[in-house]
Amino acid sequence: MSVELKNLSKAFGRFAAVQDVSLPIETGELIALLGPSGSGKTTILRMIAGLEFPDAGKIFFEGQDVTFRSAYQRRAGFVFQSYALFNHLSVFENVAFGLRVLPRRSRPSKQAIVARVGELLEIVQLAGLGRRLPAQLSGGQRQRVALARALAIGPRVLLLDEPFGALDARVRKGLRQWLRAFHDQTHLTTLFVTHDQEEAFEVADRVVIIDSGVIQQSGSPAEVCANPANDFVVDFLDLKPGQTGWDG
Amino acid sequence: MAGAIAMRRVVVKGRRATAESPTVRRILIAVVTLFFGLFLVMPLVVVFHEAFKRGLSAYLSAFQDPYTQHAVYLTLLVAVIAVPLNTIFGLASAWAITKFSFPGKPLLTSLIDLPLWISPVIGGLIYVLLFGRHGWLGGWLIDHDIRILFALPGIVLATTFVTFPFVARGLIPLMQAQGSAEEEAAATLGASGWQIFRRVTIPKIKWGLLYGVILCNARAMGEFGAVSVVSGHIRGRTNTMPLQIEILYNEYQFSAAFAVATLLCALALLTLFLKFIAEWRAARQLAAGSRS
Amino acid sequence: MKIRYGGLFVFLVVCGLADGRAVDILNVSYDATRELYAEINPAFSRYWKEKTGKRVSVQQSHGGSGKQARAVIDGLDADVVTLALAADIDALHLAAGLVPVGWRQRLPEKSVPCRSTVAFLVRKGNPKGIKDWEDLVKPGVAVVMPNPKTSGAARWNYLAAWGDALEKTGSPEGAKAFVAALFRNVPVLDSGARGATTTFIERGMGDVLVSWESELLFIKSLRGGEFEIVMPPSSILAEPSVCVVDKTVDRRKSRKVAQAYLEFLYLPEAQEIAARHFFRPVNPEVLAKYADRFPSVRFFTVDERFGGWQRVMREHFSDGGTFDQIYQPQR
Repeated sequence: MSVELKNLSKAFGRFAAVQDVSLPIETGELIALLGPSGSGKTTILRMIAGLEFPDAGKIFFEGQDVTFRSAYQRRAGFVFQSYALFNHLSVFENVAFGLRVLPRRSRPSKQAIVARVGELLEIVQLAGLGRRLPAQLSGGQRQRVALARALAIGPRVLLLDEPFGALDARVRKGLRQWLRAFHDQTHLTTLFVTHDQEEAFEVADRVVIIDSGVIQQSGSPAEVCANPANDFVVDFLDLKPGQTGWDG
Repeated sequence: MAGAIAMRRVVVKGRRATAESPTVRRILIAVVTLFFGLFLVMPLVVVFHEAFKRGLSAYLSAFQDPYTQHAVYLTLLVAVIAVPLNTIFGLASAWAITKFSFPGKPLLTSLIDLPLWISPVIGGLIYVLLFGRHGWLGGWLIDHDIRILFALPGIVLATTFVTFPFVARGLIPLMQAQGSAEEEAAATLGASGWQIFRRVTIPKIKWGLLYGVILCNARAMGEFGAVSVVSGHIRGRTNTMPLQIEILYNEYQFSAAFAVATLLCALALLTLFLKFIAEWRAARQLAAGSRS
Repeated sequence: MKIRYGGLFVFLVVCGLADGRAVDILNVSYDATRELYAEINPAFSRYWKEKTGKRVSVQQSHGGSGKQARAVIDGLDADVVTLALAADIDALHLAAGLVPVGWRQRLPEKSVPCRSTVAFLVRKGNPKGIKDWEDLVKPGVAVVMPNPKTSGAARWNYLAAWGDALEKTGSPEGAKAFVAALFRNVPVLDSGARGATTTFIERGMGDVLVSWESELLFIKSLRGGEFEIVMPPSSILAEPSVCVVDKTVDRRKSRKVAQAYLEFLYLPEAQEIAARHFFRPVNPEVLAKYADRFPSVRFFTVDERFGGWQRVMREHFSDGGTFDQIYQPQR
């Protein structure tokens, strides 16, 4: 599904978090929103999900204006930085949640739910851990549950907010590779927010660099390194003068 | 070498400076124990002793008085109405305060605590000023034979007012600490408002909610001042347990007064026990949540 | 769930409105009459059943006389009021027009079915030798009394002291000085008559308790040998009044029963009950029967010596009145 952001703006009180952001996203793209803390990238992601509403501008899903649709109408899978797992529910129930709250008419049967959850747990390599509670899992495992949970509803777009930030380097690397592989397989339109340049460059098709609520540059990792648009980009990416390519 | 020795001496000195000396600790503990003994344990012991002084049959006969029976019934009835009302109000206001931002939010948060600051007598007086014959609404109501004051509705209103903050105050800090991330996740997964409330929020807050409800109930059953103002003291009609205890005491029926008082004391002890359990479970749940 | 509780609420309101099986009336009274009406009310029910074949139940509410009057003004649905002083019933007329201005004349003895007086209770042996009002102001005598500002019964105490001093000294200034001296001997003013009794009896404070004779006789019946009653040679005739609350009985259509209830209080049966509960009956035959319980004393009334309750309230018990001038809280 394609997503288009047109002239999005949002302020919290007097702080302008997002200023006139426009961004077209093709179906099947894997985009990284890259920028320092407070740059507005998470706010943009939450507006796409329907967790915040913009003060101005529009959001389109496949050409349809969804700007003021609530989160539960948008079917955008969201993975939170803090995982936001339901701590009182088992891993199985966490993943099944989105299916269980479907309106009765569209709700799958019990067996269908069991099958689907089993499938998803396989995909995220957590098969057999269905009965565990989130408190009994490691950070990396919890994040994978969050992923499986978001995928369970068959979302049209997958949004990840600093998904791997709280994990140690080795786990992070593994999950990154997993995400890339998953995307190659499914071609699900995916956006993720990060402040980690290496992560963005390694995983994403396209990198969108944001600072102070304004898009600084948008392009493939190679393009951005070859032609940094302004001083901020140079500084942020720590590009040495004369560096021409990204050997990734 | 000398430097290392000097450092070690400094470290030792520092440790002693921050810990209380054993004497101070013992004094503090003694003071607290004395306080507890005098103000909590002794009155309880006195109540039970006075109630049973004349034997078990005298104790039980206190509860055969129809006015006393009605007072117990009325107290329970008022609690059964006021506590669920306040649970709903408390949940709604805690939800509004922790999940939304709206103009006047700090004012609402302070207003919720209002019944705790003002004397309960004022809490009762409010309703006299509203529903009394010369009150804002009273004249009209009385002319149409609708009895609010000096009848059950007035007692329920006064009790609801003074017990209002307990559920909200049990929930607000808990919900603020827990944050809305889980609710947001549920929203993105397609859950409606009611589903989020039932499947995500309630399990999270259930021990805090129980804590607030227990306190609310204890206060509702024991409230004296506000109810005394609006009750009318009609025997067998508008006397709750606390009012009935006062009546019995004023009529020199000391054993009976203490006998009814033991009921309230038993309720207090039960409340203390349940509250302890609920508090402990809520803390455990919060700790588990924050570990994830 | 919300709807169900709303329904319950409405149901309860409706229940409050209509309870038609037996006629019931509400008697709003003061503290000292608790035991009295507990016996009178069933007697009246029997009487009414015999007379008309209908059932009636009398609900009771008790509290401080002024507080009860206040409650009736605020909407407490009294069919009859039986209060400690006529001034409290006057207030019903003045504040809310609940009774007509000439209410006192509607029943015998100016609407007073039983009386009492003010006397003293001392500890066994009368160690301080209290015999008359003068003895109360002697140095070293601690007097226990309720607060005239909050207790209807206590106003009678104050007026008894004032009235006696007025006669003995011959002037209002002399009376004022006496009453001031009296209150200087009062260590603490309880808010109600029963509170003062508790202070004297249970807490063991004070040398003499000044209260209604009815209350003192009641205490003696409970605690016999520990205390003695001392009747001063002259005292006030305490006249608690009764009245039908017109506005209420007209609305509730209960006038017939309410009127009959108050008239019942004057019948020999009720007069006997009153005497048994230590109130002086107005019926001379019944009074004669209990002559040893109710010794003869030189009485004066509020109307004779003070010119009526309206004047008394204005001069003595209004804000800034004589009592306020006399009594400054000691602590």
